[in-house]
Amino acid sequence: MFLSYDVSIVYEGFVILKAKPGAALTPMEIVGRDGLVALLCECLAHRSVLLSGERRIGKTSVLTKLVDALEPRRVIRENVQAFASPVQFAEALGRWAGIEDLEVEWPSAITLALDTIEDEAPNAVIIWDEFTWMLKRIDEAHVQDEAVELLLHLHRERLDRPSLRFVLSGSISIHTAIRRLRTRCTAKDPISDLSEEIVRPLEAASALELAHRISKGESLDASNLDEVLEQLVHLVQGRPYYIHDVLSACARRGDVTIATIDEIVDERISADTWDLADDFGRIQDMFDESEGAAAVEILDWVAEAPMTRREIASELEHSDGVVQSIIETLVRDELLTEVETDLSFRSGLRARAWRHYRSRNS
Amino acid sequence: MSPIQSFSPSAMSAEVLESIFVKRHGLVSRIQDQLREHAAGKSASNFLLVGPRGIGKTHLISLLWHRVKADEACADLRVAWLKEDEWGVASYVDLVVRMLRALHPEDDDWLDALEDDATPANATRLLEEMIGDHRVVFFLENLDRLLDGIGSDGQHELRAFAENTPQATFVATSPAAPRVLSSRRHPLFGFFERIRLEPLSFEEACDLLVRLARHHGDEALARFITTPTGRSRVRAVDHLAGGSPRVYVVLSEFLTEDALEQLVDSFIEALDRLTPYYQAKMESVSAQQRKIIEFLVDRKGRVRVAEIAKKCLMSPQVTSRQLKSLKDLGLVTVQSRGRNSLYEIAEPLMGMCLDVKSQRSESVELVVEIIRLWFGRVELLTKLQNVESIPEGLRAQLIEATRSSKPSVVADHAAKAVHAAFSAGDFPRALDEAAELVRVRGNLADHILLATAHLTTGSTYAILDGLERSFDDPRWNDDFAPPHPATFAVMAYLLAYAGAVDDARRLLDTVRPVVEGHVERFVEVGLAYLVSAEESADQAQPDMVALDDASVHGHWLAVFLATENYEAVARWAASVPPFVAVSPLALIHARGGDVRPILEATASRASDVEEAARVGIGLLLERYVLTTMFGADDSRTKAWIQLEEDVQSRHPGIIVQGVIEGAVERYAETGDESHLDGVPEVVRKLFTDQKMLAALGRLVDREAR
Repeated sequence: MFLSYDVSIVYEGFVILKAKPGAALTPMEIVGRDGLVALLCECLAHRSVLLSGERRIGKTSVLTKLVDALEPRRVIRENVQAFASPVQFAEALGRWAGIEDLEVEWPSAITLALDTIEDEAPNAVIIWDEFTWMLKRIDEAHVQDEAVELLLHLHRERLDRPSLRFVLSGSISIHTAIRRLRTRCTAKDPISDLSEEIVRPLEAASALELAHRISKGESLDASNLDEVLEQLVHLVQGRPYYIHDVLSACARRGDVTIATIDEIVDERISADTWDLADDFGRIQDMFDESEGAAAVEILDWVAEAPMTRREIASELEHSDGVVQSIIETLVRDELLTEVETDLSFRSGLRARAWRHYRSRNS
Repeated sequence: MSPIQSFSPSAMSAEVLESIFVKRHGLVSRIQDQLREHAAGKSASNFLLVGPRGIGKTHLISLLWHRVKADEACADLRVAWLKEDEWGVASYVDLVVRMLRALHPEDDDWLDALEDDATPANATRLLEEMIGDHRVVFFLENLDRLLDGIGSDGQHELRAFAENTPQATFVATSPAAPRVLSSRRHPLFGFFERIRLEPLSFEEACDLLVRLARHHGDEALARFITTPTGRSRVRAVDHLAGGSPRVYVVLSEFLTEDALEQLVDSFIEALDRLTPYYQAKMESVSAQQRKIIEFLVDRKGRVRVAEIAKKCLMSPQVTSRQLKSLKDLGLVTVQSRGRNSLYEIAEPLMGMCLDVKSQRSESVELVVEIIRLWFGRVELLTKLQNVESIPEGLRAQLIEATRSSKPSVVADHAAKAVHAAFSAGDFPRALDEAAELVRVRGNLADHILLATAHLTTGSTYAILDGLERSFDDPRWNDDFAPPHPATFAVMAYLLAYAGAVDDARRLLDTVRPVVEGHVERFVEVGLAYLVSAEESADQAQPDMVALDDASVHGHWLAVFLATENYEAVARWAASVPPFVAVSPLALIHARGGDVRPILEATASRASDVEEAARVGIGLLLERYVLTTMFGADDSRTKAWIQLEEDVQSRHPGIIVQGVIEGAVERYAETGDESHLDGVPEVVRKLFTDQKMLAALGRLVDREAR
């Protein structure tokens, strides 16, 4: 049975896939990411890593592939967002190390657990996925400065154990969280030893390969399939979760055309399924009232058609310096991109979402 | 035979669930395929099935449970099912306890391990230990309630458990998509693959009800559902139930109920049974949402957001947000009209139940509305004549309802279904739909549709038989006048056109005593000649004496058919009112004759708007007849449409068919006669003469029965 099953999913030399948005994929089901995984392996040869990326960009899949690539090294990998205190974290770490009932304070418990791991596998790699969520939860518990203390303690532990490697991962707000905590660190920067790496969307070729493999796996076909899938990949800017989600919806309808994809994407936007509007809510935090209004106007314009900085400045009453500063912020925050002199939304998807967001809130 | 548990499908056997399962086979297979992959060590989506209460979530998940259990490829997969009655989950630990119970229903020794240390970490550890290396799928019903119960902390813990335990996957259900699943700031964002369960379509509902009837061994009911009367009652249920399978199951119990009094009692009883179900729906929404629903129930019909906001004393933004949530919950539906969104209650039955309970309206109004939908105008009129025990007040309201120009949603759906069937070339279905349409509404256009459908399926005798028998019906009186003679003319014409000459002749003989006026007489006599001409068409020597006689009397058709004498036809056409000439000219056109000059001359004689409208009607009818008889792509049909458009473009006084159709459609939709303002009186009369339509419908209904 297994033989026939596996044969049935191999198509023209590569494994065909099912659309599984949000699933915890196995290494065989993860497309692309080889370059990033190789880079992470290279980094880990020298230092530990802070891995960040926006929600649903595929961080967990990268970690899955990394674990596979690190074999035969011992790897301890845990999603740590369940913990809301250093004590819980330390207890869990003890269990991973095979130690039960550590009757000591949490810093000592962490040290003991890491000692044990190091003794058993000096070059082990410890991956703490969703590390930022844990920090945030500990910080929100307002028990003294436990989050900062934990960060500093883990920093010391890493420095004391040069052969162990750590990967701390979290969504893009990891910077905000750690930056905020770092300001409260009186002594050292608690993440100065980490190499910061970002999980980006898939490159176009990999995204297209993913889309093709899913199309095969879901028996989706069209006379212009290449064109349709290119359009999809372009629209979602290579985000694998969206590719899975849209093609899964196509599979349920039994239809893959540009019109179907447009319809599915519009549904997702209007139902806020992908929460694309979340980024836009931050605008009010990024600017004061007057600049915020200008930023909104800029986004309204470029959601319709690309504009140059000069064109934007000529339409606004603010000084040129203020306008350029607003634009810089929008580009830095990855809402806008500048190709040659044209400013536009970083993705067509965001532009659509912005138009929807504005029409809903106007 | 196992009982149907309309409110607890989880208690049904696999056989029952399979036998009454409709619409979602593809979805179940899709989920099952992924669970097979999961069982084989690969990943699977975490599915979330979203749909309002009663849409069939538990049915689907129950069926899936049985299928997975019986699937060899899933033999190593453990299935743990947290059913919808899992109340009291107030923390992550509570949830884990339920998951453990579902995994190990036979004993709860494991509970000891939690007694001393009921922390989330310990609960998770215990769960992980119990799962071990096994592959597991958790079925979680009412996920929204579970997520509320475990709170934000619990959601983090659940997410961490899921990621750290890839052996586990989830198939969940929820009446609406929990907000936390589509917010990047929440841990379970994008964790589930969300699939919205759509309501049953009318055809799917019929399929379900037939399956239910067969399950009960009631073959007669299964057959009844496929009859026009059965289908129109299903349409009534469809309208009342808003596509909810659960409500279908309840209402299907008295689909065959024919006695008016018993039906009223049955309905009241059904409303009583459904009321707790609807009240539970009401209790599950916020106070603001409840206020909106109450307003929509009171207001009845579609309402703009601005009006809802104003009447509910809420801001438009808040109202929009709440309406969106209510839409997600399947409690309201929205329709766009221009820039406006119009909202109404999704299940009219819900409005009725809540209305009765709030005692705010007379129950008689409710009964009238249900009965109007249930029987349709024609059947109801018949019943009112025959049933004496109806209280006079109710009788008067029911008679008024049959005359009301209030649009019938059921008829509207049925009409769309007829056109869809014709468009798809599915003539047997078109016949069924048209018979149903005539039963529930029965205006002239409906009868023409039915006659045309009969012709396309070769069952011409059925039309005639019904009409013939109707003339012996003692019910003809002032209230129930016989049909407009033009209807008989049209039907006879269609019969003859299709070659059913004997039937056409019998019809003409039957109607001769009641038709008067030169228009009807022309058609009648002309058709009679058509019949005889058809019969003698193969003869080398036509009866010239008869032809002369026909010519003298202007019986153009016989003359033309025998001699192909266009001059005679032109002379005749010039001697009759313009619109009278249109149909015969179309027939000649269909037989290959060049009638363009005659038609042009005829159209140019339309001296006023009434005459022009009549010509417009003729053109409309002929386009439809030719399309139906020969198909839209037939060269004769295309040439006629071209000819018709040429004539209309040169004679703008002629009402373009689209104008008439559009106006009547808007009138049918809204019941507002002002939409017919631009439509000439002759057209209005055809579509709004209630007496005529009721009588017509009754005739055809007899035939259908």
